[in-house]
Amino acid sequence: MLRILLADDHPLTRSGLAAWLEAEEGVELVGQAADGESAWTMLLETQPDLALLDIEMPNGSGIEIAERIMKRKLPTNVLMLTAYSAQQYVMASVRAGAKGFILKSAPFDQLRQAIADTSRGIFYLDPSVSLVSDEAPAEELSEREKEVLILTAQGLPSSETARLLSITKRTVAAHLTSIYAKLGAKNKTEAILLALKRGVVLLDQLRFIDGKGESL
Amino acid sequence: MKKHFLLLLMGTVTLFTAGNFFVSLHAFRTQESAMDSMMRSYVLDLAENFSNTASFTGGRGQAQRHGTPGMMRFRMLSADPALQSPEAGGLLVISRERRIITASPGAERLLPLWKGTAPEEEPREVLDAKGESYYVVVRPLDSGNVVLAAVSRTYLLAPLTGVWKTWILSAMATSAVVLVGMFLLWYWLAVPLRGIAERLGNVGWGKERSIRLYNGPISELEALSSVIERLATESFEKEELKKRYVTDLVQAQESTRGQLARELHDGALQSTVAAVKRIQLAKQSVPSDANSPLRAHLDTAEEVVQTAAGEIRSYCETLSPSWVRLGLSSALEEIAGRLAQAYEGVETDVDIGVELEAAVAALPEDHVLALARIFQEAASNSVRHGGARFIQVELRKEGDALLFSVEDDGSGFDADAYAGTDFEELRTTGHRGLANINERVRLLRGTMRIMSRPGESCRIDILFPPPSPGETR
Repeated sequence: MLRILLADDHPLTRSGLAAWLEAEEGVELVGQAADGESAWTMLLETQPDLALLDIEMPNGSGIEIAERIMKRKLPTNVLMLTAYSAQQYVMASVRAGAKGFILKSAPFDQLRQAIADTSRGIFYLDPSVSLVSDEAPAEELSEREKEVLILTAQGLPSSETARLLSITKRTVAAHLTSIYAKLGAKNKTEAILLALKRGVVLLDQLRFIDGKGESL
Repeated sequence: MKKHFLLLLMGTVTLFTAGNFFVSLHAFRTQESAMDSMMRSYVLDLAENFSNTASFTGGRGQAQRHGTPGMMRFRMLSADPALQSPEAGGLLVISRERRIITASPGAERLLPLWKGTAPEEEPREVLDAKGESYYVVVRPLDSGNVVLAAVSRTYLLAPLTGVWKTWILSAMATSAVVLVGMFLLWYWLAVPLRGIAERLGNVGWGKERSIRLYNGPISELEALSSVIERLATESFEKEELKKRYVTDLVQAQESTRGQLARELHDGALQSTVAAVKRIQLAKQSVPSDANSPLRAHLDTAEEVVQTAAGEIRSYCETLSPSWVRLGLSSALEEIAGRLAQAYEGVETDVDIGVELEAAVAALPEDHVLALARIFQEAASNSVRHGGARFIQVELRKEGDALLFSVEDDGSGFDADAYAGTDFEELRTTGHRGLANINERVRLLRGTMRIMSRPGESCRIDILFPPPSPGETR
């Protein structure tokens, strides 16, 4: 049985999701929270396998809760559940340690898939989050390129990335250009999301440095 | 001609006055010398007339009778009737021993005017003991005596030269006064007026709070310039008011949009999402028979409500992007991503680099929104008008302030042509982009500098004070 906690401040959406989860096989709904604080309390009490967290909630956003889970090293995987489709919400979620990102309006089949993936630690990204070239074939990234991409994913400016890898800013820019070309991405965010989506970079490889990712 | 009227007028008056001065001076000198030669010839004539009559009568053998002092005095008086008044001068017949033989009435006092013993045939101007001026000539007579003729310059010419001199000197004095007056007029009026005009030409109306135009002795200029100075101050205050008004308007607009977006998001959007969930649940309870009409209705309903949700989401996005809540870095990345998508396939690749100093990246939401809008505007200008392929955006500390800069590698434009332009005017001429940026800069209480030249890149620097501690997230 997969133990799931659901946090959403909108009662109708929450009860709708809860009704589905309760009816779903192989899943146990261990708690429902209407705001960030109660979600955190319940998380500590129930230690679920998966937390379905809304991003916008009173008393602590889903992103804040995800960060706390990551800091406390709780055994809970996080699937972000939101009405926002902006890429930066995905990035913020990933930086906060979330394993998946799904829109509230997604059909249940997709939600089922997302729960299955994220509970096993596989990155799930809602197909509605638009990416430039979703279908381009992914070329293998070199180790150095992966390092550059991972540091960039952590939100470091290229000067900082350059310093950490003892290379110049120009070289960082050259690596990024090559990464974009290989992934078919147009910019940093897309490169990271595409890399995650295709498993070129694994979520576990994104070991985040405290205080570097921006929080909500 | 009319343009330099004051100069021409002053020049003409000065020239004529100077001319008048020199003409008067010349007239004075000519008059003096004419008087001098007249007096000389008069005294010479007097002496010669007397000595000629003396010789003539003597030649007739009547010298004895005619040579009597009485007779000589008679002849003296007939030589010039003016000699009857002693002040006019006189004739003296004097022996070689300087003894007066005879004299016209009252002429004895004139003897000291002749110092020597030899005749002096050329007239001389001599002053007597009282300081009066006489023309004197001493000529020998046939008898061996001499005749001394003296005429008083003071007595004979005083009335005439007095009038002349007064007239000429007053003309000269008038000219001198006018010249000095013209100089003062130039120095105190024309020069300050020119200064005021020049300063007024450079006044940035509405940009300078107070100006100083004139500080001098002319009260009319003082009054005029103080009126203009007040106008400048008023225009500055009006401009400030206008700016504040626009800023307030933008601020009010942003906050209304933000509120509306939040309400739409928390209300309508959540409700439609909830409805979607309910429809999806309903679909679960209905057997998935492809031909079931209920199933078809539910599918349609879900589609319709999903569309509504999508529309509401995009309204929210247009009104006030929710992602500004994620911080500046995310907001800029989001814009960069959207720009890249917007121009995909249309333009060549646009690459956007974001460099933020970590220590200053945490800004309050209104700052993030303002900077995001600035970046959005600047970046889309760079791509659309400059054909830029790379845009670098930076935020870093610059002294006590924060520097936000957006630089592209596009074709640039003549930024100097816009130097000092009122950006609100740009709005009316269709340059909405710069006007929009300028409004956000004002919201940040910052200053903007655009550095670009045609054919070169474009860089926009925005310097603004860091948010006060209460504002920081």
